[in-house]
Amino acid sequence: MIRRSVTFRLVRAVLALEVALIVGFGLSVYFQTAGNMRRYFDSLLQARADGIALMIDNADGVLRMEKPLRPNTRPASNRNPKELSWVWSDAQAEIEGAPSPRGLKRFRDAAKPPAVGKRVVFDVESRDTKYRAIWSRVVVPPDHPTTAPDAGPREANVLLALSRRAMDDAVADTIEFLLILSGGLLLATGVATVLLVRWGLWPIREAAGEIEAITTANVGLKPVGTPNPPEEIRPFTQALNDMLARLGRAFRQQRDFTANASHELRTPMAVIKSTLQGCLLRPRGEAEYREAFGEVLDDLTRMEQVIDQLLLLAKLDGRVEQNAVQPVDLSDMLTDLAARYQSQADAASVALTPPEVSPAVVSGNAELLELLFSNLLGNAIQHNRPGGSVRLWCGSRDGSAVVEVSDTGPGIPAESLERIFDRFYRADPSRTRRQGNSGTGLGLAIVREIATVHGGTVSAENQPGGGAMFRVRLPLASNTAPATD
Amino acid sequence: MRVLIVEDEPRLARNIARMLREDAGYAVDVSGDGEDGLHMAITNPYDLIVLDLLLPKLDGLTLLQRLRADGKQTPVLILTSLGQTQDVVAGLNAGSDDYLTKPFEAAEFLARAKALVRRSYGTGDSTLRVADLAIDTKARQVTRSKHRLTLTPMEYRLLEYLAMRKNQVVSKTDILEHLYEFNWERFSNVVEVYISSLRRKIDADASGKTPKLIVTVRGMGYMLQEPEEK
Repeated sequence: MIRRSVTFRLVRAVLALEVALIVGFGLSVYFQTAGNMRRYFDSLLQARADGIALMIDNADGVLRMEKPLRPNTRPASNRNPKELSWVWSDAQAEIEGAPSPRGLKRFRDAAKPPAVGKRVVFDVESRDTKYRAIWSRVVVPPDHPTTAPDAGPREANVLLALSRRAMDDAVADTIEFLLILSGGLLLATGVATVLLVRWGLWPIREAAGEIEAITTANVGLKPVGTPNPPEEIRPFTQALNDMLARLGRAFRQQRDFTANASHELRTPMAVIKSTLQGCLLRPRGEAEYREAFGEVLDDLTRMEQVIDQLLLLAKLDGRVEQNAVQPVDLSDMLTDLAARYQSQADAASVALTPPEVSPAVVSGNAELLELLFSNLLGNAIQHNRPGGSVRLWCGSRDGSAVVEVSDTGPGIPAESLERIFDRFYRADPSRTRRQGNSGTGLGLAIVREIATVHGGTVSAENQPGGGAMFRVRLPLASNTAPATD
Repeated sequence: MRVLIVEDEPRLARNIARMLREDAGYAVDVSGDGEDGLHMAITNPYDLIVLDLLLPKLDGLTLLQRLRADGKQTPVLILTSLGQTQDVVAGLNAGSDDYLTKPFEAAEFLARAKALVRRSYGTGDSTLRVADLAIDTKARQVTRSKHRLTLTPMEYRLLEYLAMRKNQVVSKTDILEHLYEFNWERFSNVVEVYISSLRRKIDADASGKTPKLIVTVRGMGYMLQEPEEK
């Protein structure tokens, strides 16, 4: 199985590239070095041969060596001689001081005789030893100007062979050195790449470890991974943390809702139970019993409200009953509602200004829509001040039906603007049924749910002059049909 | 004994207070929010605090933590609708002594409340005994040598308190602080009146066989004393 590993792929690619580079580099170094060495060797050869040539005397036409050349003998160590040299002339049988011609033939035959005044360089192998030889044909001028009849320049040959062993060894050493170096480089690169990749990807492994520790209780509370991840990893951890935060919020919302629903139902139950059991502790008068019954009925009504609303929310769950969908003119509905809520507004000393409406027809469930706007209208009247007012506006704007309900109340704290539509959300976490707070905490959640089910939105904002404004946007009829089963 | 209820649901608070007054004979103070509740708990000597967790201004757990940080060892009974394990654990770890979820049975609530008060005074038995005097805190009945005694509510309250602190000297201030609710008038000579009426009923036939149990300690207060073995 091919390992789908970043490390593996990276190492393979890097090493392949490196091998290519090394081969290229190595070859050029080799050729360069070998070439240089050969040139150096050759120039050495040449210099030596020239040196030998200079030692040829021409005394009155007779050639002889100024100093005898070393004979070409085998060294005592039985290794082949490093240097072989011969000097001869076709015009003279023997040159005094020149080595014996033994072995010369082999060398002479290995090359093409050079022209006079020229030289030829060639390779020869003799007795398992490789030599590089130079055959130089020179013209030796007379030593002193003379008028002797036989005097004059004479031709001579110098053949010098040097063992290539040193050069070959040096080249071999270079190659060996290059190979070892390359091997080491490749190994080091391989290991380093593996380690570096591991180090580079460490933030991911670390994040993975932290993710292991996430439970439904702590999801999204603390960002995962180091606070300053490397640039390449940043988008990943950022997206991951965003998702975890969203998940965490959803979980906590769910848990809070369950806890809150539980509380909202248990509290009135506890009150009812304690009222009845307390009453039964000892004999009471009729008046006390009546009072107790009255209180119990109040609390039961409260529980009823909460249960109805919870059930409505559960039922809504994103759907509108198909058979109850019809065209609804919001302007008519609002005018109707305003009339019905007039007495409640009067009781709270709040002025309900005549709705400013223009026709806006949506396709939906009349009963639910009425509930939506009732809630908003009721809230606007309740969260108001004596002498304040409530304004209703309705019309179409940008292809949607828009309804605005504004009040002159205390407005909504900025940090709560998003969350007021959450179920059971209250700015004050306790559920005191103090004056003006007789709601269940579900009214706005239901408003949002109904709007969503009709394909619309609801938002809240604070008005510049004080008070809150709720805006509901719904698609106009024949634009979209609301979500059905 | 004197109890503080910190609960923001007014009807519930009223019902619990009535239960404690009528069944257990306790003096009861009520507070409707956390800040006020904490203040009351710190400035008055309560024998039990009944605490709701979801309170306005200061939540119950924080109140409890601050109370304990202040060094107050008052027994605390948490009464709340949050009944998940983590809530129970959090409550106990913060220093509560017991936990009851709403809705609860009145009988259970009363039994637990009384048990907590007893425990804090070092008695396990629900019947307090001093010599041949027996105070059944369950039924609120007092007997001496098996004779049933009839006490008024205040007399019972006083006797129960002295019995919880048996063999300890109890000052007049202690008595006033543990017998009266917050907004009641306190007249210190009232204590003498109650002590003497209690003596008339309990130590009426004080003699060798039925020794005097309520003892006056000059300049310091009173004591319900277990007579020495003769």
